[in-house]
Amino acid sequence: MLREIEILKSMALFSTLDPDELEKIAGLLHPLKINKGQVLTEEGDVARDFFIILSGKYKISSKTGHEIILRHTGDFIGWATIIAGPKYLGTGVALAQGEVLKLSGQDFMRLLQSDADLGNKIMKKGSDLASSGKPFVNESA
Amino acid sequence: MYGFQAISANNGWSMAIAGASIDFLCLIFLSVVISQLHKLLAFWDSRKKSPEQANADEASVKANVVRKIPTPARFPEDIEEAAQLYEPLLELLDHPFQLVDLYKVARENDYPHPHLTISSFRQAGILSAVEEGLFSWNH
Amino acid sequence: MLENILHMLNQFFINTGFYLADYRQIIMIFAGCTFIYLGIAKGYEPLLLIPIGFGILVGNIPFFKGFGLGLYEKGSVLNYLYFGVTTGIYPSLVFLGLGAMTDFSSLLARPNLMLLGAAAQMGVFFTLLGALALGFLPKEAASIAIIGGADGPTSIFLTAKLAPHLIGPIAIAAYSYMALIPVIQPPIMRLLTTKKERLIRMSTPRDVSKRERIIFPIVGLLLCCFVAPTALPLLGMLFLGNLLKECGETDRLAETARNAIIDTATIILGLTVGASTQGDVFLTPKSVGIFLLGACAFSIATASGVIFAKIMNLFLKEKINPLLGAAGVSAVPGSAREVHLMGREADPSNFLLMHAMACNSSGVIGSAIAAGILWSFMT
Repeated sequence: MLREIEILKSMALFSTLDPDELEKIAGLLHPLKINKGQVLTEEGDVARDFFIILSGKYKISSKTGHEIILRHTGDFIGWATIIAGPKYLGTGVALAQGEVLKLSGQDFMRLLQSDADLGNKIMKKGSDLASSGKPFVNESA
Repeated sequence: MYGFQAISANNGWSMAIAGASIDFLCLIFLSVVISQLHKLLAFWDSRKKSPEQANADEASVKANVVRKIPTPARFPEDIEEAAQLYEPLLELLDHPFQLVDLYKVARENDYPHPHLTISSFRQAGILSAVEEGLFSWNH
Repeated sequence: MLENILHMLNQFFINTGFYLADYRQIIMIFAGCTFIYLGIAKGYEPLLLIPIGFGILVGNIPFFKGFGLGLYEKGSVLNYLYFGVTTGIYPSLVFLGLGAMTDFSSLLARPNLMLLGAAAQMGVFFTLLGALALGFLPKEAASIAIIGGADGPTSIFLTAKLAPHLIGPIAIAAYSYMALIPVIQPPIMRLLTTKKERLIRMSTPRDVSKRERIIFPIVGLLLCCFVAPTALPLLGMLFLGNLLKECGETDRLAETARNAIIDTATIILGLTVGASTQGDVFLTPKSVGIFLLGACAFSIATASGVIFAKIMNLFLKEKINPLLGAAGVSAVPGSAREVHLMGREADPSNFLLMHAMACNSSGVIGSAIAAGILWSFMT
């Protein structure tokens, strides 16, 4: 769990959370081994899970032709699950074998429902990041 | 019977108006009460304290701040080292103690990852249960 | 010998589902499969639609009555499980879990959002009038009206008390519309708000102390249940669950309530409610009326909340985003999410989710009070 907490701490969205709050989110993460070619998210599908990259290389593409490659620990796929919308905004495919941490959108919403302080912090940070033009919503799925 | 006739025959208008009004008034009442709750609590706290008591409390808070255990700069991965860092916290507790109290003092002194660390202590046998809900420190 | 074998095979065959099936059961089996498909493939409220869909399949398997198998046959397993529905036990347990998983801080920090939950309950009382106008009996009309509260357990609780023969269609209607919130609410929100109103930002709420969070369930219980004692089975459990969560001394009990208890109650509630929707009871003109009224109830509830928020803004210095009114329906957290998405559509940096959850929570309380009021009117 220490590893998960360190990764969450390094992510801009969760940077304002205190250790207890990070522990709560870390408790919801499940490690998942990913094979080359495995599809994590399909554009237009109901956004259910959110993925944090531990290792491997992933391509996110959308029908508009927009594409990004994610390969660093702490990059994420499926942000739509948490904040942006009911459906994935892009298709995420593994270009190599790797490992990710999966967070269920339903578990995350339950957590926000049970901890308004945590929810307010994440929403405020999300709002600050979105207004500062950080591409975390527009470019990843 | 259908339409407005049916509604009138079954007192529909009265039920709808009365029901909606009662629901609304109940929630208005609740929202007024809870909007004043934090003010009432603050008033109650200030009323309870006499000026001398307020000064004594301030001195006590300052003393507590001086007595506060310094947060370790780096929290070790080794369980034995972590246990040594927890020793000062145990002086603040009765023996045996409840885990929730240990967790509380660890949080108050900004020790990182208290849940995880205390869980590791239990697994390593450093914390062991002596009776229902109470634990002892074996280090 | 051959004659005996043929006779036995014949006896066996006439007791199979293939022989006993009628077209209504086949239709309901298709409906059950559709629910399961929507839950798994499309992700529409899977925790509700999958048990209900499977329950529909279970309840519509044809069998020879008298074997003690069916939901309505005294002494059968399903009948014993259904007891928790007809007596209101499962909805109360769901509310216990809901209270144990809800943080009311956002609501306590901004109590005027509670009025949006109240406004959304207008859908209940308008639908009451509509149901009476369509010729439903008063108790039936009250059971149908509560669909407007957008709360499955509350709908089942009240229907079990007032019109148990309608539990199947009302529960299916309530849960179906809750799953269809992403379809029903956005057009209404768009129609009733201007772009400028959708851009309104809500300020960061104040910090709420632990003492306030502990006192709230006690005050809430006393105030609401003194007004509507008939809401006690639901609100009593909701506030108990919340107190278990907030007091800090009963974390284990709160954890059990919001995980094991609510999940167990949800599974059995969904299964037995689904099983109660048998073809001969469900496929009637009354059910069509219930579904139509349910859609109206949801729509009116959404519209009432939004319109009331706009009315409040005429008097408030610090404006409320009127989209939050749509979250006054108690479909947690579905409607909060829709409000949040609509807000972000207008302004990608406007995150309304936590404020919408506050309105959702007040909707839960408002719909339970509405159920209590209707129950007391009818008895």
